[in-house]
Amino acid sequence: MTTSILLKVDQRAKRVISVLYRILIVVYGFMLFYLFQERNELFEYLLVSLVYFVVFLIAHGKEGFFSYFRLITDYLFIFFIVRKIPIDNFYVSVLIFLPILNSSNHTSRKRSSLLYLIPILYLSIYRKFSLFIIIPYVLFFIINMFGVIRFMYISFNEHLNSLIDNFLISPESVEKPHKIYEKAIDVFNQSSLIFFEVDKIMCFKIKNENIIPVNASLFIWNFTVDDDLISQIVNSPKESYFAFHSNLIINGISFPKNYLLTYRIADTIYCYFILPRKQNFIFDNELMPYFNELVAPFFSRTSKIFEAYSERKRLGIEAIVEMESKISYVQNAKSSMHFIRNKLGPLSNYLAMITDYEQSDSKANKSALKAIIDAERSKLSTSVDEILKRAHYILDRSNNPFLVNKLSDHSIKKLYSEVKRVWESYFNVFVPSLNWNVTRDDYVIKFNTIGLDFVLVNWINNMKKYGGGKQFVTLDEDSQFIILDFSNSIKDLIGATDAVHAFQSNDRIEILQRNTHGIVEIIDFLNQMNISYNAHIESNKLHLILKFIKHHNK
Amino acid sequence: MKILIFENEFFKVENAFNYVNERYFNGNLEFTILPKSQDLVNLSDMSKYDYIFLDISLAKKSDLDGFGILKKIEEENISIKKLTILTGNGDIKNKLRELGLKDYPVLLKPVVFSQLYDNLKSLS
Repeated sequence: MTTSILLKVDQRAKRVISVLYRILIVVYGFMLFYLFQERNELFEYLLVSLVYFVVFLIAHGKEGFFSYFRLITDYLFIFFIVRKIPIDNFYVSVLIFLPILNSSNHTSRKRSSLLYLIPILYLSIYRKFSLFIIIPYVLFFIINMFGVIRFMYISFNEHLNSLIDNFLISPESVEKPHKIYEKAIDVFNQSSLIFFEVDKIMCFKIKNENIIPVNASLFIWNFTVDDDLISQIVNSPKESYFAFHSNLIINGISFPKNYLLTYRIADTIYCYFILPRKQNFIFDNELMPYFNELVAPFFSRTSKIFEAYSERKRLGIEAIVEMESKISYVQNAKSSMHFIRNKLGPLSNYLAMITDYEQSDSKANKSALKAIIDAERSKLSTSVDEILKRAHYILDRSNNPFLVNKLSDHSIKKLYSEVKRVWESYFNVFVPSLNWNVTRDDYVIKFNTIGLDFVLVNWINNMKKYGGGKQFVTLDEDSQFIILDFSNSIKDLIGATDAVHAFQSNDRIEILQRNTHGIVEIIDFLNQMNISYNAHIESNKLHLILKFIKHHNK
Repeated sequence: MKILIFENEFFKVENAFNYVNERYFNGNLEFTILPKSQDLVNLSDMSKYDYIFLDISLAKKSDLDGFGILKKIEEENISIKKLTILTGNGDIKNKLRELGLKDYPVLLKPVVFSQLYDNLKSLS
């Protein structure tokens, strides 16, 4: 199990406190020695103190046996100090209880009962029980118990938080989010705070009064949850609702003993059913007053994560739907080309026939040939009509899902962020030469976010793939324009020259015939967004300059 | 001369065939047009034709498509004189190779009469 940062910091602090605590024992011991003991035993005292401290340093920070060893050494040293002092003395009782007082700072994960047994044993031997001893002993014990519970609660939640954090960066978090329950169940079952063993966890969500399974530690084929329960959850005014032993049937099996807790996120309510591993008196009799508070942070976080996944899925589906219209447009364009090719068949056949007919000397079958040519011409005129109709459809802008001519007003901060975002996904560092007057906000620029993203991604990708390894971006402005100047060193001069030529050429067909790495589309999108552009080679660098018109900010 | 044409959209290429027939064969070509494979009850009858044009995409109700007919020809060793595939698919040669069929001449649609004549002139 990975330890969280909080627990690590806590552990380090405890180690420092541990050293200070031993110094305190030695100093306090010296004070008692000074008050109650013979001066001629000073050397003996100093020697034992030195041995005690060296032994402590050897065992410092180690777990298991060494934690017991430290505790026993502490008591032995304390008993050495107080051996000749009346035990019902106030100072002595404070020193004897010092380990108990300090126990909340113990560096070991578990606390030993020796902590309480050793002083009791010591006092029994001396048969010196007094209120001085009993009252602080009982109170220390109670205070420590609360401290232990508090620490267990923090530690439990920190383990669950670490579990979620580690799970989120694991590959299975998206594909198999239900796997988190296996790990969580382990943490639940290892904790002394939960007085029953968790067997299964199931998550459902209620939206528009419909309940659907989200995920679970078992596969849910079918389920039944009472409508009344759903109605109670939906109508509960509380953010979080819990209930015992709801009617729950999963995959045809009834689970009468269960614990339900819910979390509301906007209009969605996440419901978790927790099932015990076996009959448990505490669980069965609903004796778990703080259970909801104990597990609430964990399930609250998982609800938010699942909701985020759900939203991401929804956006993914929207993207697919949007993509579908583009795919169908491309497919349509492809099938249109087939259609046009087929329809142009009669034209080439007709022209070939005409040429051949005119060259033919044979008078005998000229009339028969003429009839065939006429038939082909008639077919041709129908074909031409159909070709034109199809061409109109393809060229009709309203059918084109790739249009980015709907422009919005944006600040230069937005433009800066867009360029930075795309740049940093290709190159590590975004250090533009910034010559913008960033304090002015009296003008805006217009672009389509998707269109600009397309242009930036394509061009910066080209810079990365085909550039010479050095790239720059200058953010400039003049009285009319906000200017982006992308430049890169040149690896392939012919390729760079071709790119410049593509930007300068007006002949779309000629550009299309060459591999220009998306420049046709970049030009098309820039034109749609009224962003003027210029590409050129200067000082052995390929520049692409984009100019955004400044508009008065109303 | 008997020409067998497996083609479910013969009207698209009809003028090219008719022109070649009138122009170069004085109307002596006798076309048999079949849109479905089962229209030829016995496939071995293909051996009776001087030239076969075979479209790959036949009518939907056809038992066999063009590839199926080629397979039958090869499996049943039907003796054919000449066969040209009629298709709009420019990648047909690769498809034949993938299916383990022999290499046949291909006439890409839309058909221009002169290309058709290039195939048939051996008969004249």
